[in-house]
This record gives sequence, C-alpha cells and structure tokens, in this order.
Amino acid sequence: MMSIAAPSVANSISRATAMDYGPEIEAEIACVQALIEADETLTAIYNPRWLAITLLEGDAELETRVANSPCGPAILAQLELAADHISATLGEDIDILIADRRYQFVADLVHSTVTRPQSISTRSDQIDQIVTHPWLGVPIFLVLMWFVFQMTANVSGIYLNWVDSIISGPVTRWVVALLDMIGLEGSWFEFLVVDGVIAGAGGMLVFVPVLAFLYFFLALLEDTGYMARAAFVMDRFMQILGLHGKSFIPLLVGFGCSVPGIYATRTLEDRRDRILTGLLVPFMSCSARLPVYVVIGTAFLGRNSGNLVFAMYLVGVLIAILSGLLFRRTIFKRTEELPFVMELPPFRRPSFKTIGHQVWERTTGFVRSVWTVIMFASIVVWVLLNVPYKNGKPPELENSLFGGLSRTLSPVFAPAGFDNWEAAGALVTGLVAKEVVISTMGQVYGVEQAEAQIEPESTSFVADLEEIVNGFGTATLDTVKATISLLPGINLLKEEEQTDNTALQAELRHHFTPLAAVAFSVFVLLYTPCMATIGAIRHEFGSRWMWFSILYMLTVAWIGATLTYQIGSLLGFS
Amino acid sequence: MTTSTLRRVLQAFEEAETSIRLDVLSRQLGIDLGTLDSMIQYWVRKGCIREVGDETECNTCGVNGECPFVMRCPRRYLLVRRSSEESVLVPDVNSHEQ
Repeated sequence: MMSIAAPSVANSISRATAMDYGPEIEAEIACVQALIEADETLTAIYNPRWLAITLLEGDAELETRVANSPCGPAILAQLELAADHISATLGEDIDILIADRRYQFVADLVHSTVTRPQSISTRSDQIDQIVTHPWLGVPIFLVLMWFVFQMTANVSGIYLNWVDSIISGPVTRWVVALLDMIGLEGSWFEFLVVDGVIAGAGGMLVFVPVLAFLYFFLALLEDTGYMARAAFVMDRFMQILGLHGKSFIPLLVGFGCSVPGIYATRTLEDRRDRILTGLLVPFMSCSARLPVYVVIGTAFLGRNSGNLVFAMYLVGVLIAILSGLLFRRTIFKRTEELPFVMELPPFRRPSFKTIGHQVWERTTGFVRSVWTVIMFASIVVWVLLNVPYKNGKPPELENSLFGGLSRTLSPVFAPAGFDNWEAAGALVTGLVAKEVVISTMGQVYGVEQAEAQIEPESTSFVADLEEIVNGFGTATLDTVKATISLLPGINLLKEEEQTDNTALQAELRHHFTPLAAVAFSVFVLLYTPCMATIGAIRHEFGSRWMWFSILYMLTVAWIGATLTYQIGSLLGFS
Repeated sequence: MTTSTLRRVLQAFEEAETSIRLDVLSRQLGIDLGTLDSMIQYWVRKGCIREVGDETECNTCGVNGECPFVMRCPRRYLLVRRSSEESVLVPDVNSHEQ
C-alpha cells in the first residue's frame, strides 16, 4: 500500500504513525539492531530493525537462520540478555510486551481515525440482555422448547393422521391390487409386503410430518442464533449444579441424534469429562424416540400430547443431571472447571432457504433410515411373527417365535404396568433403532387390521387421489385451527378432530392404561440406546464403558418406569 | 510495573468463575471487540487458550461429514490447563480400557 503512495505522503504517514515500543524496549531493539547491522549477510536480506524486533519476539525459525551467520552467536547472546533485562525491569516477557504495544498502537490509531456512534447497543444486544439473563435465560429456554413440542405433537399430529390414512388406505390398496395383478394374491409375499413392510416400515413414514415440524422449529431457533444462547445459558445453569458446563453442547447435539452427541464429547479436553458426558448423552431424547411419545401422547392424552413430549424431554435432562451429579461424587471425582468465552453471533432474520435445506436433510435422513434399518427390522420381526409354520399356516401371533420370546421377557415389566408381550417385544427390537419400537407395534398390533384391509376395496385411482388431496386440505385447515387453539382459552377443534387417532393408537388404548403408557414412554426414553450409539460409545470410550452404559441405562429405565407407574397408582391415576 | 493489556485478557480467562460472552468480556476489559478477538488469537497461537469449534462429525451414516443433526455452535475459547497442556482432542484409541 505504502509503496504505491506518493513519496511525500508516504513519509508523512510514516512519521505520523511511527511505531514506538517505549524507551526500555526501544533500547533493547537498538542493541540487537546494531549487532545485525554489523553483519552484511543479514542486512543483505533483512531490514535490521524488523529482524531485531522479530528475534526479540522469539521467532524460532529466524533464530536458526541467524545462528549460522557470522554475528549469530553475539546476536543470540544479546537476545537472551534483553529478555532477562526487560523481564526484570518491566515484569513481563518481552514478546508479550512487543505484541501488546502493537495492539495498543492499532487501538490508538483506530480511536483517532474512526468515529463510532455514542450508543453501540444494537437490537441483538438488547435481546441478548434478556435471553442470556442469569435468571430469565433458563425459563425462556424452557418456554420456547414447550412451544416447539406443542407445535410438534399437537399441530403436526393432524398431518400424521392424514399420512396414516394414505398409507393404510390408497397405498395399501394399490400395492395389493398390483400384487393381485401379477398373480401373488394371498401368497406369503403379499402378507410380507402388507404386514411386514407396509405395517412396519410404512407405518414409520407416518411420522415424517411430526419430525419435519420438529426439525423446522429447531432449525428456526438455530438459524436465528438462539441455540447458541441456549447452549450458553444452560452451560451456566449446569455449572451452578456443579456439572461441567461445557458438557451441554454434546448434550444439545444429542437431542438430534445420540451418535454425533457422543462424538461431540471430543470437544472436552479431559478424558474423564468426555466419558462422563458420553454416559449422559443417551439420556437426551433423540428425535428417533419422538414417534413413540407422539403415538402414546395422542392416543391417551389428546390435546395434551405436547405436554407429554415436553415432559419426556425434561425427564431426560433431569435424569442426565442427576446421573452427572452421582458420577461426579463417585466414579468421576470433580476436576477443575474451566469456564469458556463464547462468541455469540448476532441475532439475525432466519433464512428460509437454509431452514428448508436443514429440514430436508434431516427428514430425508429419517426416510433413509426407514427404508434401510427399519425395513430390515420389520422383515425380521414379520418372519419371527410367522414361525413356526404348522399345517401350512402361520401360528397365532402370541405363539409365534417372536411372541414366545417376548412372553418370556414380559413379566419383568409387570411392576411398571406394561407386562403384555407385544410391548416387551417392541422394546427388544428398539435396541436396533428406537423408531423400530413403533414399527414393531404397528406389526404386532396392526396385523389384524392390515389383514382386514388386504381385500382391495372397489375404489378407482382417481377417487383415491381425490381422497388424498381432500385429506390434505382438511389437515391443513385443521392445522391452522390447532395452531390458534394453542392460545389459552381458545379451542377451534371439534371433539372428533381431537380424538381422531390412527389404527395403532386405537389398538394401544386396548392394551395399555394411560398410566402404563406413560411408564412405557419413560422406559423408552431412558433404556439402552440404539446399536449405532452403543457402537459410538465403544469406539470412543472402550468396551468396559459401553457395558457400563448399557447396564446403567437399563437399570435407570426400569426404576424410572416402575416409579412412574407405582407412584402414579398411589396418587390415584390409572 | 503495569500489567499489559494482553496479560489482562489472559487473566480474565484465568479468573473467570463462569462462562462469559465475548462482547461482555470486551466491555469489562474496555477493549474493542475486534481487538479483543485478535488478542485472544494471540494467546491461541501461544498455546495458552484453546479454540473449540464443531468437532462432532462422526461419519457413521454416510452423509459426508455434513451431519444434519449437529448444531453449529459458535466459537468458544477455553483456557488450557497448565498441568495438561498436551490436552488430547481426539481420544487415544489405545487407551480405551483405562
């Protein structure tokens, strides 16, 4: 820049902005500079003053080069003397002082040339004063999350019913008609497709609207910059509880998926902190568990289903905090807590393109899992539900291999109120992935219903399309009504719209009491995470901690579900 | 002897009892936000402060490191513990059974 300016201007700027490091440092610079100027091999390449300053700052590479020059030893000796002298007289390392003077010089220059407005408090700063307030921050976070879960469970539930009606109606009819057309009518393959794939994996696609709503609101909070504030606020809250505040970021990631949550523990420098946080991450309710709460919530609690979802997330956080406190006092004695400084981005208007991209990525990730892991699990469950074959007929579900294994396990859950074999079997398959709990339930509870529908109804393709489009219109209208109905004292939904459940939800009401259903949700929330998470724990912390996590979570889940059911019963709930 | 501004920045990290926002620290120290940011970077280069970003990609579900579930947390700065300056960011796979 200076080289292209006119010489006179450049000189005046140079004089006006001459860098002065103060008398003590300037004296040391002069001494070193004098020695450098005596060495032609150095002056031929470097500006003597620049080299003197850089050497005093401790540039190791230049020191090596200078050491090989004729005056090198003398220069290095002088550098050592200068460092000792400055440290003794100014009480600070010379390199830090040089850098400090430079920052001071720049700050003075900016101060003298830049005029700033009197008030630098932006709207973002004003919002920050409120949302990161020591007392208001946590309640604001909780209120926002409550709203997110209300929208997710209550409002999106209407689209859930619409998608369910498409899958169990037109889609099933089209598939059956197609299979009949190619001569597979009444074959085992038709039962596999209808009872296995459609009832299991297809039943999971019902939850696409629910997850899309959740991802939309999380992306909205993230894109506006609020999630960074949430991490900051919760960090402080956890420190108050005596836990590592930094752990909250992996825990926050765990709300989406436990696997990256486990890997996010890498941001913690202490191995013990990493293991402790890794053990807590699976307690954060990942999005795969959401369908379970939504199904149970809408089946048993109607308009209050959002409260159940919110309560499950809170219970997860609470159990993680209690477990953290327990571990801190037992196997992981507290290490020194190091607070952090966080650079919060300013609040900004959300970009709906970015949000749309995030929702698409996350939702398609879920759909991919439906057609891979969940479909595979559904087929395995279907096979287990249909063996042993006797006299050319599949067994009664209860007497199938799946039913037999599940019945063996079901008494364990009697104290928690859900000792039916279907629930026990669904929990076992949930070890593959949490969504499989619902797909299995769709199979074991929905088989009879699917069998009833296997005879295609005599509707035309056009009539089916009309049904789908009309259903979408009705669902959209009801969604608007449900959103307005979130306001206190307003209820625009009719009674039948509030209790309009899927076939699976209707079946669940026959097999569970409301209290047992809540206890089941607690168990799903707290029990051993999916295989991918178990693998991540093993990869990061080793087999021993993996087994510890599995057993600890199973124990906590059983105790949590049993306490929920027993205390609820004592309080008169059923 | 006077404490240098750079040293005051490091001291603020050492003496902090709770996590703090960068803009609040800037006001507390009376240092312009941009200058404070570069001063922190100075200590990062010296190895006294550690910058933490998003080190969460797990690549287990084949989305090429672009995990849709990872929330993009902003930059955080942590004081490096004196006793463990060689802090391990990536776990040692050989120390699993410790």
